Amino acid sequence: MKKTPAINLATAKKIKHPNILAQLKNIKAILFLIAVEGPEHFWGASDGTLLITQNGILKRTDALPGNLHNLRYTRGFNPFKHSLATIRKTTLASGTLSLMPQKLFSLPFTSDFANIGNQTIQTANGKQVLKKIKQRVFVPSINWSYVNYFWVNQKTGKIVKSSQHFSPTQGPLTIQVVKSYQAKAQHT
Amino acid sequence: MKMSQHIKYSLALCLTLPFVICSAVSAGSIAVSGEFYHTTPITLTTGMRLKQAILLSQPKADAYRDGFSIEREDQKKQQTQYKAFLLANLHILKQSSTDANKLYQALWAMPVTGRMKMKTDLDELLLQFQNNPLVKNHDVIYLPKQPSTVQLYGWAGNQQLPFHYDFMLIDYLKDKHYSPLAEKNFVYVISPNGALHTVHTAYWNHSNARISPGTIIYVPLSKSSAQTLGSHFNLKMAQFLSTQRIS
Repeated sequence: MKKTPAINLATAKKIKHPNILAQLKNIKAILFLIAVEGPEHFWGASDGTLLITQNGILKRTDALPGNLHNLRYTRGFNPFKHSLATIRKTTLASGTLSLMPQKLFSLPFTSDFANIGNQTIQTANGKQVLKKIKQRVFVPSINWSYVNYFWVNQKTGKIVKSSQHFSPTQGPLTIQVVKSYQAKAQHT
Repeated sequence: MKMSQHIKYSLALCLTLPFVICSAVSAGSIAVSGEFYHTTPITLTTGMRLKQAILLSQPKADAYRDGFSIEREDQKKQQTQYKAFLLANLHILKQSSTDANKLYQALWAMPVTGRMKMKTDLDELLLQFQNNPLVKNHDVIYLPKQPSTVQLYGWAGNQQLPFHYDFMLIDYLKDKHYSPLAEKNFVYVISPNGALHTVHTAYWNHSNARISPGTIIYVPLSKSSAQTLGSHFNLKMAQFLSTQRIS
């Protein structure tokens, strides 16, 4: 009987197709790039879980127990458009988010991004010194506050690893980019 | 080769050749409208499915994906019949009711779109193999901008209301002037994706439903008032409203 490979960085590295390694609580999964729509990247798992990222930031989720239905930045710094590598001092941002299945639509949030220094972490390409960005978010209407962390490659400006919240009922989702999407990469 | 074999091969060629030619040539085009990066019509190829058409046209990152619609010519016939039925019934009522007259005018201005019911949302479409319909010649795919309003129709007035993230459905109906002909116990709610629900609104059993931007609320005619009209007037009205684009 063929042994099922362990879901870890070593297994994910062997896959040629662009993929990410995600962990929610103690559940790990490898998600594959299934589509690119403009700046949005769609990552899918075999169980139907779907993560949509833009510029490495989680924008929507689907088929998880609680889902981020939409996330928009409307004022201040917009991480969907600008790299987190550009953040030097505390930078403000605000916008709206929608949550399912609670059917909470366009809830305003306030947020700030802060550079909290460099950190050496194990990545798909070995140990790397990455810029660590802390994002604090507060959604007053449901009294939900959380902290996201991003590890950014200062040369490429890309997020290599992150810990992002997407639902008040779930913990943070850790995402590690194992093979990033290059414009010439083959995708469906 | 015997003559009979010649005939057999010729016959086989005659039968298969049209299919070979059909698969090579374009089978028409579909129109792309709204918040897509590429809004030029897509040349249809045999077997093209909706997912492929969306990937070709590339939705904009800020588009309102909940309001995505696909509109099809062959849906227009039934929708035109609905519109004619509704206008005819409202025409009877509008002599005695100003609300009916206003709804008549609003309905008159609404286009017959051919919008189809989608079984899945735009994101799920990219992951699932089922519920990914074939696209047809003259189909229109449309994606709106994020709306900031909710639309009210029916026997409590026809108006656009500003969306409030902290409002329940009943908050939108507070202070609205209900016509004596209006149903007081429930409303039809049409989500931006075209899904239709009835939601209780009476003070003793109202639902704590929340609605998203771009939702249509239809306050129906009361059962007793609708008795004089054609069957399922309210449902047909709600179904027709669900075919409208989010704008």
